[in-house]
Amino acid sequence: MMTIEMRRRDAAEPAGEDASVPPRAGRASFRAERDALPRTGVDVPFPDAVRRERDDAEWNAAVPAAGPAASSPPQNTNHAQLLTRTQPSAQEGPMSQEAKISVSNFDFYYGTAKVLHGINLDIPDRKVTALIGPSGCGKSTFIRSINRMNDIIPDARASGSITIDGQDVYGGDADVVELRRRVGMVFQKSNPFPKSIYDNVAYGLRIGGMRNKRQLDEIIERSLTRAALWHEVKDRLHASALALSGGQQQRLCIARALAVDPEIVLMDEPASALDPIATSKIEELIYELKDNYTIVIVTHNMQQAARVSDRTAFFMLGRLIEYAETNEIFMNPKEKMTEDYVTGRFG
Amino acid sequence: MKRSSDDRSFRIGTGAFAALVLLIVLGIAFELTRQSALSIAKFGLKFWTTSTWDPVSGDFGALPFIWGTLYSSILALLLATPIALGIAIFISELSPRVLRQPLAYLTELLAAIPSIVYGLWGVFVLVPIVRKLELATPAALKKIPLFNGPPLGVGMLAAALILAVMVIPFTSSVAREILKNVPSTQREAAYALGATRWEAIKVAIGFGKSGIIGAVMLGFGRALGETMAVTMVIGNSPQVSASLFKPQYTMAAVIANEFTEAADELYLHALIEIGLLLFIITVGVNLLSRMLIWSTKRRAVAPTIVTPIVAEEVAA
Repeated sequence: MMTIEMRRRDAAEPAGEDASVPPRAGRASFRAERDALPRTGVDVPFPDAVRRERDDAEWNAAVPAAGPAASSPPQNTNHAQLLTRTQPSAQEGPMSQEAKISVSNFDFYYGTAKVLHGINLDIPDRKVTALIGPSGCGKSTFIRSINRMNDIIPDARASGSITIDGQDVYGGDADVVELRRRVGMVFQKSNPFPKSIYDNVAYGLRIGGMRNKRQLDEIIERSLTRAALWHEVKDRLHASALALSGGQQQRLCIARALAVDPEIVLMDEPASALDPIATSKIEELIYELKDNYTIVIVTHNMQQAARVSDRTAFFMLGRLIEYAETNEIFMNPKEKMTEDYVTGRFG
Repeated sequence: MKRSSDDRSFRIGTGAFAALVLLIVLGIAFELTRQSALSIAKFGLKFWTTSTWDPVSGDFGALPFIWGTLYSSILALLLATPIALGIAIFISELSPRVLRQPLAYLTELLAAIPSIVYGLWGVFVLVPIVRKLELATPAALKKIPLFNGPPLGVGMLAAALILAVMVIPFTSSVAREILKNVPSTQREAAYALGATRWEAIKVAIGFGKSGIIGAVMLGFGRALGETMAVTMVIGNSPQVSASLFKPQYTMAAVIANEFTEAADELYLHALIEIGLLLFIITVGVNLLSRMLIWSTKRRAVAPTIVTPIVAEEVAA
């Protein structure tokens, strides 16, 4: 219900009629608002500095380039005019992109309990999408629905559809093993196997049938490098993964997920068990990863959502209440509930 | 004052009970040694390595019994372990939830059946089946030492089979408990990387490896000491043979059978020394399994030098 309401509102915006492509209004005040965003007390060197730098770059390049989404040309034109910046750029504006993951009328049940109610949202390619909301709101269930991790739970049932690149995840011919190789996942609590660092990262490759030692070495180095862990562990790849610190273990789990070369990485509160320093490393990592991966992250930490994500979806009681640009959600939420939540009035 | 003195007496009381356990173990070892002094003095280490068992002339060697015990137990272990682990895996990972509890209960029920009942079942059901099997063995196979021997039914094969049946519930219950305690995050990690169900189960087994080794060793310890059922089906003939079909003897069986007949002092002492050997072997197997568990555990969590990493992380 709520989502439908929200969509109607969206449609009323100048942005366009296509409900599946959310609008991007109010970009003009983006910078100011972003700077005014609440920050954590912890001095985290990376996100702020890099973020600002990047913001500028994004600003200059944010104009939708040629090849707007076929479904919504008027919107893109509109935006281009709104922004009054027309530098041509290879980089597409975030909203003009095709959705990587498309969710429609998605319901989810544990036994008879309905925990997700008619979720509709489109997750853009190579962006970070944050899911926020109070505990028990269904965001974890939702993220676990994308790679069908809920299948393991007895009596769990889904209806509606989730498509990745147009392919239905829950379709009859969908191969769940293949799906999970395309959609990597990082969990709340780091869960390395009680094996060596090397064997942890190699696990997904080996079950996929890779035996070539040189190829394995290469991918393992690349994955660990991408997960910003290589320099810390390169001299002891064959030491137990359990000897690593919590933050390193979590980055190892990220490396393990990246090794099988997924297109999408789901992160279910990846930093909630970590200290601020380790957290900032993970955030930094998420930031770098989005160039190559579509990232969906569940977080309880709203500053984190504000820092790392491009778009934010607010869930409550199993419903998607609002979904928009992250700064929209935090600075200019359309729903009262969203506002109450992000300003800390509840949750 | 009052309450803290309660605390102390509680600690002393429970401590005393704990000490009692140690005392009993040491007491048994001491008594077994003392009461087998004659035999130890006369045969020394030769007792372990000679095969004569002649009460009439007073010449005793325990090798056939040691052999029979170890051989039957190892055979039982080989037969029981895959089945027990299969049961454990099925119950904890694959079975429909409605079947889980009843199946677990039934396997535990198997452990509760008295061994004399197993023995009777062995004599009346298992032995005739084994005999048929032995009769049906082709002559060519019989040339191999493993299948060499008279088709009596009673013998090493029957003993190993009955031991396996008796060991399965122990091993599978403990293994099931261990698999149950493997954190679900381990399986999730595997599934999230595109593991099939079987691959995820392998991850769970890998995680619980040390515990599962412990479960198997527990079964082995149980097989070593099992007396009644084995005595009834093994044939009770002291000989060292690799044959599955030949009747043999175990340490526990010889003590049970001959203890009441041991008329002279040396005979009695020889039997008690067998008891001592069984005690030593059992303790040894237990220690070995502890070490095995300990070493796999240690390998899994081996903490390398942690400090430089932490420093690096802070610096970065």
